[in-house]
Amino acid sequence: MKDNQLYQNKEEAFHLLFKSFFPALFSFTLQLIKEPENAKDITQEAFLRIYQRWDIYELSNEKRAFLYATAKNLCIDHFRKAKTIQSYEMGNKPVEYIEDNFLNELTKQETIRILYKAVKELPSQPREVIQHSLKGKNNNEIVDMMGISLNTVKTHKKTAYRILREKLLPDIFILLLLIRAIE
Amino acid sequence: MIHKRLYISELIARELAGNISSGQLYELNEWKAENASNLACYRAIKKAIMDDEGEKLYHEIDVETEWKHFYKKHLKPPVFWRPWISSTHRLAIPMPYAAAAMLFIIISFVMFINKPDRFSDQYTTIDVPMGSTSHVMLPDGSAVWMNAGTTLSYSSGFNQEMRQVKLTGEAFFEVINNKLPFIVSIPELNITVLGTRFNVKAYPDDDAIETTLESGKLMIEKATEAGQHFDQIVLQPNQKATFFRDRDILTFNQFNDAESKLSEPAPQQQRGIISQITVRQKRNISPELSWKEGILQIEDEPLSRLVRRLERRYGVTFVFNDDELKDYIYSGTLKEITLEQVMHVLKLTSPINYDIIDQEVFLSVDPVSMPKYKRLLIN
Repeated sequence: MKDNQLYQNKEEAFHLLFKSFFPALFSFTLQLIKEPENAKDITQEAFLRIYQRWDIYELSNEKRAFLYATAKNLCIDHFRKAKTIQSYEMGNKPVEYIEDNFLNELTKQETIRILYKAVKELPSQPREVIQHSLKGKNNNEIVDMMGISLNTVKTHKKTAYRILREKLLPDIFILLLLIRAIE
Repeated sequence: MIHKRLYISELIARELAGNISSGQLYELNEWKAENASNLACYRAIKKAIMDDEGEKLYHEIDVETEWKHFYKKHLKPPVFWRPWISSTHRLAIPMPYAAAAMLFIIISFVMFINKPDRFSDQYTTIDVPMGSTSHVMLPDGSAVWMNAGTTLSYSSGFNQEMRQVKLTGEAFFEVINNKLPFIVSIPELNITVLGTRFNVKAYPDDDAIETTLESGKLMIEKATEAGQHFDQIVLQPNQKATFFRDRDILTFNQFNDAESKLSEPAPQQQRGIISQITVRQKRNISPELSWKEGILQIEDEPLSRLVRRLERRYGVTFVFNDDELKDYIYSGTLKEITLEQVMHVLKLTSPINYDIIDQEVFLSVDPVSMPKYKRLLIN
């Protein structure tokens, strides 16, 4: 979703946020509680809460922070409510586990989300090249895998980097402003 | 902490996409070196990207299905309000059932007419975008002037048993006196009136909510859970109530028409430039109500606060290239002028440079005229 745009229509804006963040937030929740069905419920609940306090003038950065913070708190509530935890693979202290790990998990999910979104919007050939490159393949390996010349691989890479630069710029820009405002 | 991590994830994404500046790379490396947990986090992310976890995740989850679940459970309007027969589908209900359904609709409709409060969650919303103002008439005949970036909503039961509007932003109310109390709700406060003229400024990004009364009588109370004790203030004409969001305090000030000077505590400035803009003086209108007349009145206002008002009024975004500008303080009155004219006046009275690019205004210190103003700096 575009950060710097104000959506007049709450439903439209919310739908966009839902689509952009559901997989990341679900994965985040799943890693914290390790129960797929409950993770889905918690993710849905987090979205409901942001919908109920929707503010069209709030930056999407604030919304991201709210979503993750809410999901994390709901995960903790979930374990506080469930009195008996039979076999919890993360040891006997799920709340401590969540507190210790949620920031790292958030960083991971957000990185994947941002990168995946930007890469998905690339034209098909440069996208394929960049996907191989992200998986750690070098140019020669990509030549073999895609059956194209080394020069073509390099050109596609260049195109991909140029587009990624544009795709990744606005988020960072808004963020820097925000961090400055907080400090 | 969360904001910092959101920023770090942007940096890692940029690094992996081969698109990171040296400054950002330095920041990222600093973060990695902070502790073992951060470094482990970074390595886990790199591994996840190598293993293509994103692709797997985004293929596994059917967002459309999840959205449908969510929509059905939380957002779908009540059945009563949906059209019974869509134009593209033939009516397939046998006639007797259809007749029964029809009867049910009629009965429900009669019930609806008799009990409007049952459906009080149906809201009418008026949105005024950034860069414009609007004047609306409510169903009871009360008039509202809405400032830029303001939303006002009221339920279908408005003027039936009570008159309540919800406000985000700034509006001036001229309330018609009838037997029903008129309530303005903002998340933190309830303002109750009986025929009066007053202004409410409650933008979500401002530190304080201001209520200024021109005539009549107002009661302001802090919105709290039902049954709890609450703060309450009764406002007389020419008084202003200010609610400070961060400190959770409600205070009020008297101000005289002659002076039009508010006793609001002046912001503590470590360093700033006092600048006077005097294009036109018009003292018989208080600054709180001036926006309605198209006047931009500035009273000892730091630039950081002033730009927020300009952002709403002209629908633009300000970017400070030099943070010290935020503390510069301005006073003056400007009437019905363009953004370019406002910026020009600011430039004339202080060492400031501006660039207007599309919808953004970039502000920086003007090194050429700075020496002229140096002696005015309050250290």
